[in-house]
Amino acid sequence: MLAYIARRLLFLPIILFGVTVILFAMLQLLNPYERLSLYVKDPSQLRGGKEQLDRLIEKHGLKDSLFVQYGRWVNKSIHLDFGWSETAKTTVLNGFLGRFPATLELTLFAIGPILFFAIWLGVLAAVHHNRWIDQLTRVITILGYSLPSFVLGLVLLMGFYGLLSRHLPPLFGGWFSPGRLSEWAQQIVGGESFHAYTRLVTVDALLNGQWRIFWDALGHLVLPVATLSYINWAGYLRIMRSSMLETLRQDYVTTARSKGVEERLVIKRHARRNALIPIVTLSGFLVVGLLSGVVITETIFGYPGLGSWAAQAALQLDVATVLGLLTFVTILFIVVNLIVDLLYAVIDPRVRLT
Amino acid sequence: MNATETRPSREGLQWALRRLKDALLEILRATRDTLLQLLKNPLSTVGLFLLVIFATVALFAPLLAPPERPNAPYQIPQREIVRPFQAPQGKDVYETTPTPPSANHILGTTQDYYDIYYTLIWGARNAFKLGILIVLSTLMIGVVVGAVSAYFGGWVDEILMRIVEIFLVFPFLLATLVLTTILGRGLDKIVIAFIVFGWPGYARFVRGEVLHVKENAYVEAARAAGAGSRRVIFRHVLPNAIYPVLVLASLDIGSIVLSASALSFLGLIPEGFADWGQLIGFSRNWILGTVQNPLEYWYTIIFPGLAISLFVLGWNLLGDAVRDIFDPRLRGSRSRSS
Amino acid sequence: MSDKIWIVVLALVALVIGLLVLKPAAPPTTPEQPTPVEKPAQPPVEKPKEPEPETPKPIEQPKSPQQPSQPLTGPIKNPDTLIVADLSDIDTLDPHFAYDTSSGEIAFHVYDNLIMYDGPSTEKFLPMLATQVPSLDNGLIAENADGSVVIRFPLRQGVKFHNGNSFTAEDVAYSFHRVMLMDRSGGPSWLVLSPLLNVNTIADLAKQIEAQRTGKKADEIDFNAVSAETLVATCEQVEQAVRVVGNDVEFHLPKPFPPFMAIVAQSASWASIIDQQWATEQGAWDGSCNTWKAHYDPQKENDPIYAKMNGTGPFMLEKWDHATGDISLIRNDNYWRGPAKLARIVIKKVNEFSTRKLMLQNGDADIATINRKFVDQVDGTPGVRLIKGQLRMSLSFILFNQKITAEGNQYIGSGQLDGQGIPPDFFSDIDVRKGFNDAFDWETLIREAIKNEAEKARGPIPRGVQFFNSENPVYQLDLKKAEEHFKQAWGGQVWKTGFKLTAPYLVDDQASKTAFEILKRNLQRLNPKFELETVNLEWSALLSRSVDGTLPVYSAAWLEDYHDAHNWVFPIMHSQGNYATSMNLGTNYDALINQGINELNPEKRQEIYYELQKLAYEDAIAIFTDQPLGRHYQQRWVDGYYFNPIWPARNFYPLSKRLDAKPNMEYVNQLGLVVQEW
Repeated sequence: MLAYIARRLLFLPIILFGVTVILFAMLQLLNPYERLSLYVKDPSQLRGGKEQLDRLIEKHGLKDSLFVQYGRWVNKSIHLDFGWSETAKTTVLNGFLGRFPATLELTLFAIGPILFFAIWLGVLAAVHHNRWIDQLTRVITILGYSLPSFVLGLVLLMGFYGLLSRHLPPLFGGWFSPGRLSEWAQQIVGGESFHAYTRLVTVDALLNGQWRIFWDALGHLVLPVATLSYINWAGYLRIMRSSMLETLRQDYVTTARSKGVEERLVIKRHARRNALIPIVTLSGFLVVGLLSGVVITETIFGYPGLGSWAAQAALQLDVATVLGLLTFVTILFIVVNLIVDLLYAVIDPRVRLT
Repeated sequence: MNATETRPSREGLQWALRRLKDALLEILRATRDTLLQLLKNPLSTVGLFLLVIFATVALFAPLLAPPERPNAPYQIPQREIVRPFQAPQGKDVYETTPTPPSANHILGTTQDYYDIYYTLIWGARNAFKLGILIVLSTLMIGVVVGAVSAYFGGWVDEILMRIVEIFLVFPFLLATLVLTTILGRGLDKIVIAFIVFGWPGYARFVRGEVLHVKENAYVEAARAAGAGSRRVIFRHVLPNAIYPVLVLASLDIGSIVLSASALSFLGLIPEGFADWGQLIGFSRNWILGTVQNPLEYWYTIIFPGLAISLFVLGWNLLGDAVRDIFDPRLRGSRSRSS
Repeated sequence: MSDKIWIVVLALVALVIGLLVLKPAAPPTTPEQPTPVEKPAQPPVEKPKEPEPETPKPIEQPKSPQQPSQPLTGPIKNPDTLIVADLSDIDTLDPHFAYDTSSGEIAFHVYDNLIMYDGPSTEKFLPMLATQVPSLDNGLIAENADGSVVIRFPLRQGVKFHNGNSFTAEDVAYSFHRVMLMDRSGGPSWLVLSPLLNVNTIADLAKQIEAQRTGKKADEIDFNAVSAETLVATCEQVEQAVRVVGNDVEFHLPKPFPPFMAIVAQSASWASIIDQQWATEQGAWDGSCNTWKAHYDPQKENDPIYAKMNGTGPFMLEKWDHATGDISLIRNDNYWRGPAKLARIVIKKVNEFSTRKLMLQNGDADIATINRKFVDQVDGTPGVRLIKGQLRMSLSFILFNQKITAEGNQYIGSGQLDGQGIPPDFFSDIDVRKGFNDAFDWETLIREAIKNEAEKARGPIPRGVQFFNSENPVYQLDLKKAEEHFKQAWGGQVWKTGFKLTAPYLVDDQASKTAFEILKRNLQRLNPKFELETVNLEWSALLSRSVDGTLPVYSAAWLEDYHDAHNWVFPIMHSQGNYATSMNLGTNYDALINQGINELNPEKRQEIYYELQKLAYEDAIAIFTDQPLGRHYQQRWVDGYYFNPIWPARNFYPLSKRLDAKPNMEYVNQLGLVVQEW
């Protein structure tokens, strides 16, 4: 197994190399003046004329060849210096560290509902195979596939934030609003007396005993979490359903039944546990999937995380930021892959890693 | 082994034509069977029904919403009167605030006086065009790479699959976002970006299918009879592997249109181009309505939202059933990639 | 089984249909509601005969805020803190590095300048860190026999920086030396360098000195290779230009430069006075002539005071949050003009319009930036005050490229006058340019796309700038005249064969887009063979195209660097100005423009600038479209607001929050602004 891990980890730099080279190659489609647009943001900054633009191009090394630029980037990033992010106005690393907790929090909150509904409804559908509840979950699943997150998100915003929030009791003040925290809460969280243990606002608020902040943060999470989960859980529900169907046909389940074990217990003790295997392993991919799924969701809800940053950086051609984020996603992807494989081997002894 | 492969061209042509005819007949027969089976299932009937409606709309777009200038039909008119079955009339209007449905604009106008009805009609045509174009071109690359990789195996397979892996690591949305921005916004640029980052999925899938078929005895037999590798691939392996690939890929049109509209939602399409995603992007600024009525501009989001959701729903309903009938092995396999 | 599915599906369909049917029933009550819009607030722009005084037009409005509404009843949200929901994208906090309005707004409040504008006036100055405004009359400006000029600023005593350090004349000299020697590329340093040292970059100066020493040609010298002595000599020249004399500071100008006061006045962030001792402690340049090269043209992130501030201004930096983009300032209780009334300012970066709007609606933001496009959604919000009609120092125009780069150009079709394109020198024919002008419809543009919140531009100098000629002739929509011109253009060939070109504009640039559409439709109406396509370009592409000269027409808007007519005619008409260069306007106007900037006598200057404005009309160098009017939305509890078009944005110093709040009515009336509240 160690050899397997080593082999997989060996691929990491190769894939990283490939990913970053492709990105650099894509950038070669742009001439230096086009790439300069990151530093001269709009026409009102186009001041000193061409002379100043040429100085800027030289300063940022935009005329250098692909290899020189790539070499420079690799050389720096080995020392964990991923450069300066024009979109975040800080280094890429700092920008990342500042935004990652927000996205992590959103993702963690979304995983719960996804897995819960997927497992619960998946089991229900399999147990009542081909009955109306099975068909209903099927319809909901397909609807989940089909609703674009930007439509769902906007409609939710319109209904809950535009319409409903003004009729809510004061206890729910600030609920459903975009962003991560209300202004007053942000001031407390940014203040001296508030201790940032984990940088996950909900957790920190509880640790600091600040119930109102916890409540506020929760209210801001409701809509993005709902959007993110609804779009994502359909797939997992399907897997759970078919996995459960399969286990229910297994011999030991039949045996248990024939022994006169109550049907409820058969499902609970025997079938469901085994049917969970694919779900457990797939939840690793869920994290990766969610991380890329947050791009649209965060953009719609003005949530200050990696997703909205990535969209902004991509649209502004902030190369350093996009490269940094890609590196992160690649590493995450490969590590998660590895963990999932290992988990498989641990849970299911029939699987052997080669 | 190369010597056996070179055959006189005339004979080759006839051979190829015969193969093509057989393949087409095979596909037609299979399609008919599939269709018949589909119609037994109410869900897929609904899906089929939805798609037929959208296809009709797309097909008859020039009738349903005659364009202002026939050579630029996708340009959404900003005119005083835009009625169904009539060419846009009246003066140019540059009103920035959306206007509710009225006799002159049956579904209202969104910001900058773009007519919603017109955009939905031509957007349907655009969606089909986009989906089919992307699927066909990605599929072509995918089939070639996948087949080559699977058939030759060894280091060819290793290298190709590593490249595929690298492309698959890219978060799809982010990658297409960057590439489209670099190429400069536009529908053609979105198509290119989707092809660049879309083929590896198919390549991997085709490779799997081919490997599966390759194990079958008749290929072995053909080989034993001394047929060359290219001949085996094109004559025996691909035809058997391609039909499932073709069917499943065509069902991806729904999700591809969905992803593409996410890009146009973010604003990567020329303003004023009839596209659903752009329409939803416009509505972003209006969903909260006015102080007096928070739902004042509901029509800017509801109509395009419905259109795109129903379109994708149609494909998914159909796809769900097709997968069940067609290849039980594939159930649930798509969820991982989406 | 299947029956149940049908029921489910039908139920869903029914739900959707139900929603659709029910929804439209609700709105009709509201859309008809009168949205409080334009009474003839802006005088119709098309009346050319109307006398337009130099100072803002008197707009006939009641003196008090219109639509008097119920008095505000408390509670005021965050009574001591002012929250601004903005689109701002602050680039840097180093005032000598900054060259954008968002950064300028922060520097404006944290740092002081030597002088400042008097209230809303764009021409009168008040002393700030100086105790007098230099002039020829008070003897602080002296002209030498050789034509050089010395300007002397006596300085205020007893002023302290935020960290407690005393403000001295050395700090002033240091600040000006720093901005000149740092000279970051693409930055503001040239604004100080050109009047004081007659060069555009510090590297040019060093090259000149090196050339004198070595006898080489200046443009063959590599700045990075110049000798240490040259570097010291360069720095010494800089030090000679701004000198400490006792408690005063003297600026030595090689020749007269009339707008010098505007270049050092408040809102010019490059002329902010920073604390030498503090800056040195942070790791910035220490003021020595031996070390300046190490601090020359830094990367933004390596600038030691990129995210730190220590000024003498009314507010101090509290926090700049990179994750959210928000910045907060707190009151400087020891401010020499007296402490501000507000304890805290928070400028929040809120990109999404809907969010800004809701923050304003809920009282979570005291001031919010509202795009003109969306004003209908905001007007009528209870508790909100709108102050509109603010004349901006900005001008939009469409320039014609008189010598288009043909190579690799996708915008000029075939590149020939064959009906399928235009030749590269298409616009060098004056009849073409006049024809385009006559075919443009200002009224529609301003009424429909800009919602009447702009004035028709009268030439390269906007209203509110000295030497603006309110009588300068302008073109008007006249398709007959346009036809005549096009029939004469290119010996009649244009009319016969027609032309085809593409007009690129920046994405999301609403005004340019509409302007081109109007032009396109009018040209088509004139002659079906006249084809103008429009295409929107990413900023990256537009930037690149404007450099390589392939744009056939260029729709641009200029914001001034400093408040003087020169800063308007130069970029638009001088062969080295930003726009004129890329549009190949030629050198016809250079002599006159140079004459204008070296002339101290206002009457003679007026003559020169009137002549330039007239030439811009006669030669039809551009379609001068409009000068926008701005809007300001705030909570009714914000007191003391007024506006000066030269400020980078708002001035928070005079503001406070109270129930009986009012804008500064004296200034508001003086500017002819319109106030509405709900």
